[in-house]
Formats: sequence, structure tokens, C-alpha cells
Amino acid sequence: MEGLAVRMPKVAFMLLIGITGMFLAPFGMLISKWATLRAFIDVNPVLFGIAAFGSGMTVFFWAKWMGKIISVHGAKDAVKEKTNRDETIVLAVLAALTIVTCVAFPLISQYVVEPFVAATFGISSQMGRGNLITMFMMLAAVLILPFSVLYFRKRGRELPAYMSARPSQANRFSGTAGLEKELELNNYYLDGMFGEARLMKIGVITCILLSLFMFVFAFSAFAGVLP
Amino acid sequence: MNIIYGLIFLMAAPFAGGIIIGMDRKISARMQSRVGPPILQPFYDVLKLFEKENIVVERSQSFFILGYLVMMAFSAALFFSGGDLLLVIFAMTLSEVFLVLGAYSAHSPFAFIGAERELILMMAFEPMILLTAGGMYLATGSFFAESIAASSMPLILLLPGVFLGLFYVMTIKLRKSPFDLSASQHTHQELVQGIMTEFSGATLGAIEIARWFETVLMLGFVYLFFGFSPLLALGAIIVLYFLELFTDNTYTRFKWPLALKSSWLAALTLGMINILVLWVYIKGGL
Repeated sequence: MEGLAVRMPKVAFMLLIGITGMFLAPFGMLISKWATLRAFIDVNPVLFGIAAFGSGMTVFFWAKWMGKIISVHGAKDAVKEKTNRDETIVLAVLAALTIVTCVAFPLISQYVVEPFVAATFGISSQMGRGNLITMFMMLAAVLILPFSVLYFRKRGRELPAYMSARPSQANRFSGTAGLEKELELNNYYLDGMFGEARLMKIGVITCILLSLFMFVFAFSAFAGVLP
Repeated sequence: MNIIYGLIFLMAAPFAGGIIIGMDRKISARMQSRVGPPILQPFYDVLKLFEKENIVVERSQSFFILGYLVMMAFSAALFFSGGDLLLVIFAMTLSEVFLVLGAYSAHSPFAFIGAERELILMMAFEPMILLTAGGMYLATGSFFAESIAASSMPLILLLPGVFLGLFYVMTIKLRKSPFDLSASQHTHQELVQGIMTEFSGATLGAIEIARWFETVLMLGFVYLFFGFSPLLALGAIIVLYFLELFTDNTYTRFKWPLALKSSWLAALTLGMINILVLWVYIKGGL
């Protein structure tokens, strides 16, 4: 993933749009977080708590990924993109659609989602107008910011990153006796906390139990054992 | 929501924040048996930073930091104009993400580790602050800072656990030891300042200003617990900040697993149990 922005700039750009769509305004924040938190708190604070913890984890996951993509060093020569044309088209369409849905979101919500919800469940609730405006201001800030890159592009002198006070080539540590060490950066994966080995067992057991419970409940209700 | 309050706040907050940080540095210095800088030192620092030459590793850095400052100011202004607490929290998260991306984009070993640690701290902080908003909603029936502050209910008595939990994780946001893993404050005199390593000049000044906003916003959250009595709120803020300084100067830095686990434990026990008790209390119609 590292250096993708240099090697495959187009793919990286579309990936960034996708990630932004997933966890920033308006979808990640207004719909998946704000609306769920708002809905859970009235029904059951335990669900609210679960969503609150989940919210922290999604931020960690997505921001780490985004950071990895934009963190660029060394080989500044773009390799020829070997992405299949079909794949590129699909990605481009998805990226464009993400942007369109983000911008047109209040309209979609008002003319498509709310009538559907009202028709299906009999009631529908609207997002507060003030909140929609706030959300839109945030979205505008996110959208406008990329243009400021044009302004910053010409400003500032570029120097290599700090490598423990000893001048060296970019991204190389210089050690004793002329020894040089290439910089290597790796992510935290928090295996000890959220590692597969840890979560797999718990996840499988919980799933089996819940599925069993669901079937037993459904069949007994069907057979008329339960009222 | 009152937009005028928000605008007044945007003007006043940097001054308030700067003076708070100035006093913070003075008191910390006295705790360490130093004389300490003048109260207005943060302003001198920032003014000087803006005079300095702009040196960058990657030009996109400055752009991300602009995003950090703008979103942090927006988030704080939204809070003080009485906006939805959840949106305030999301805007704050968004601004932090900008800071982290700025540090990532430099591709420097120190900034990189700082950014990763900052993300872990964000993950540690987020549940508790969301639970705070949730608890306040249960108690007052509104997510809006305006209505919560105007509520005559003594929130501190209804949400003591949430308050303690927030106090615990607030150390993260104020960048105080034991949670100053990603970058510490001036008082600890670090040579290489974690996530800030690759920022200099005006960009570093912008980060400093954003920190002023952040500090004022955090103290605003404390205020909400005492909305029924502004004087008591002011007293509580002063006591709480002093305790943060005291912890800062007496604790050594935690490793990240301990920081994450203990923050989550605080959210899970202090925050969650308080909220459940309050919920049962309300459902029971007592």
C-alpha cells in the first residue's frame, strides 16, 4: 500500500475518494454514525455504547489506511499503471458516483429515502435542518481544501525528513563507521487486541449461539409453543 | 443555535486558549521549581513562528494542517454556538484526522510513529466522549449544547461516572502525561516532538492555535456538567485543570497498550455503568 500514490496515482486517488466517502462527511458521519447513535440512545444505551466503541475503531482503521497511502518516499518515478481498463472504468464510475451522492445527499434523502420509509413503516423522521446545514458546511470544507494545494504547491523550501540529527540522504539513517540503514516504516496492527487469533474463536462461538437461538426461537414461534 | 455566539467565540477563543496555555506553562514551571515563561509566552511563540521561513518535507503537509486548524475552529465554534454535540465530536475527529494525515505525508520516522500513536489515542478517546454526549442526552433529552447548558438539571449529580471518565480521557486531548505519547507539551522539553517533528514555521504556529481552540472546547465540555451554576462551573474548570497539571508533572508516560486499555476501561466502567443506571432510573419513571 505504501507508495501507491506514486506508483499508481489514479488508483490511489480513487481509493482516497472511496475511503473519504466511507468515513467522513456525510456518509460515515451523518448516516452511519450520527443516525445510528441518535436512534440507539432512545432504545437502548448498550447499543449506543457498542456504537461508540466501534466509532473509535473505524476512525483508527480508515485513517491509518489513508495515511499509509499518502505517505510517500523514495522512488518518485511512476511505474506504468498496469490496471486493467475495465477495472479502471469501474473504479472511476464508483468514485464519481461517491462524489455525486455525497453532494446530492439531502435531495436523495428528502425525495427518495423519506417517502420510501414513510410508505413502508408509516412514519418517517427528518434530519434536523440545522444539522443538515452544519453537515454541509463540513462537506464544503472537505471539498474546498484540496484546492488549497494549488496555493501551497509553490510555498516552502523542501528538505529531507529529520533522521536523528545526522545529515544523510533522504530516508536513510547514517550510523557509525559509514554504515547506512534504509528507513522502513510499518503499521501497528494491534494483533494482541484485535488480532484474528483472538477474535476468530469468540466470533465463531457467538455467531453459532446467536444463530441457534434465532432458529429455536423462530421454530417454536412457528409451532405455536410461544405466544 | 446561535451563530453570533459562534462568531464571537471564534474571535475570543484563541486569546482565552493562549492565556490558559500560558498559565499552564507558568504553573507547571513552578511545579518543576523553575521560574517559567511569562503568561503571554504562547502568543510570542506563535508570532515568532509566523515570521520563520517555511520549510517542509512534503508540500501537502501545510495543506493538511490548514484543514486541522479550520476544522478544529469550526468544531469549537459549533459547540459554543450551541450545536449538536455529536456533530461537534465528529468535526473534532475530522480535524484530528487532518493532523494525522499531515504527519503521515511527511514520511519521517518520528512523525510516522507520532501519527500512529495519535490515532491510537484518538481511538482511546472517542468512546468516552461519545458516551458523554449520550449521557447528557439521557439526562436532558437533547444533544444540543445550547439546551444542555441551559438545563437547570445538576448534570454532575446525574452523571458523576461519566464526568470522572471524561476527566480521565481528557488528559489525552490536553496532551498531558501519562497520555502524551504522540507529542508532549512544552513543559517536558522534548527534542524531537513526535507528531510535530516535521512541522515548522507558520505551520507549527497553526497547530499551536488549533491547540488553543481544542483546549477551550474541552473545558467547554466540563462546563456543560455544571450548566446550572456558571460560578460553580468556573471553579470546577480551574480545579480540574490544576489536577491535570498535577498529574502531568507527577506521572511518567504510559505505553500505548496501557493508555488504550485504561481509557477504554474507564469508558466501559465509569461511563457505561453510569449511563445504564441513569437509563434504568428514567425508564422506571422514578
